[in-house]
Amino acid sequence: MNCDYIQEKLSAFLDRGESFEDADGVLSHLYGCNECKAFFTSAIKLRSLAVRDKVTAPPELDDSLLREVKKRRKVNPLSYRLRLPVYVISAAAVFLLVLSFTFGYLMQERVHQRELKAVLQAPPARVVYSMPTQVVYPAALRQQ
Amino acid sequence: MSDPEKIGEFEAVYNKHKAGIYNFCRRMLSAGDEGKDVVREVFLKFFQSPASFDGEMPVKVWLYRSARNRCLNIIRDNGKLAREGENGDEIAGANSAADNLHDETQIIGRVLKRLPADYRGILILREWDDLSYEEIARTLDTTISAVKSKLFKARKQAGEVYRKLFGD
Ligand SMILES: [Zn+2]
Repeated sequence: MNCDYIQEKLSAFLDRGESFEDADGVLSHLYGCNECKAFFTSAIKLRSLAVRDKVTAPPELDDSLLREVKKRRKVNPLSYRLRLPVYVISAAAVFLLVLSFTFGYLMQERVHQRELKAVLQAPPARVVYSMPTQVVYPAALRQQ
Repeated sequence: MSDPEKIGEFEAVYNKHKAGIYNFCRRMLSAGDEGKDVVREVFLKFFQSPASFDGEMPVKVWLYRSARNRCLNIIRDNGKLAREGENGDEIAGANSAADNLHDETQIIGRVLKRLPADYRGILILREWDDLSYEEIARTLDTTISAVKSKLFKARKQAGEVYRKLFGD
């Protein structure tokens, strides 16, 4: 068993307090290995230092944070969150899209009908017959 | 939800997690005011976040993930902790300083400061904030076996730094 393997086992043991499968092997290695002993000792030392180092959040942080939260809530009414599920918002967006297309289509139909009505109601067109104009150039001019 | 309810809900979350998040930021950044600023930012962001919290993303994981990302950005931006970690002179002179260094808070601060930010982060999550392997894995977006392995490496390096600075 190499030292990294043993130390990883020891590290997990510290966290979970689990008994490991090959406890005898780990313990006999630990007994005879200064490197693993040093690892285990320093890991325990670190834990005890950490436990004593924990502090509570400073009270001034509570005050300033809660004041800020209340201020943001009061000053900016637009920031109120609309707590709707995503599928409701998606459905509303699709509905609006379909509605806008339908509206556009209906408006176009209406315009077409109006144009057609205007054509039908217009006075009948008068057809003026006349002879086509023909330009006859003198013979001399055509040769050039 | 009405204002008082909303603020009440926020206060409950804040009171439950403020100490953990504060200790995390304080030890990640090892500068009191910077840590406090990050705690403020994280909780204000939480207050304004439209995200919904459930089994997929518990509030606790969201808060630690957010705090960790912010701290890592600060560390990357100012780079000062990395430079301190490479400061050989300070380490060489540390044994003499250790004689006068009775304050455990300073001892642990010096050890943590010399660890890479990701090792420091995982150690704080485990030793200071008592997060489970699963919670750490979700905070770091990784697997439980990766957490186990990284914790071992972080402990190993922390032990080496401790012995280098203060002896056995
Ligand atoms: Zn060994």
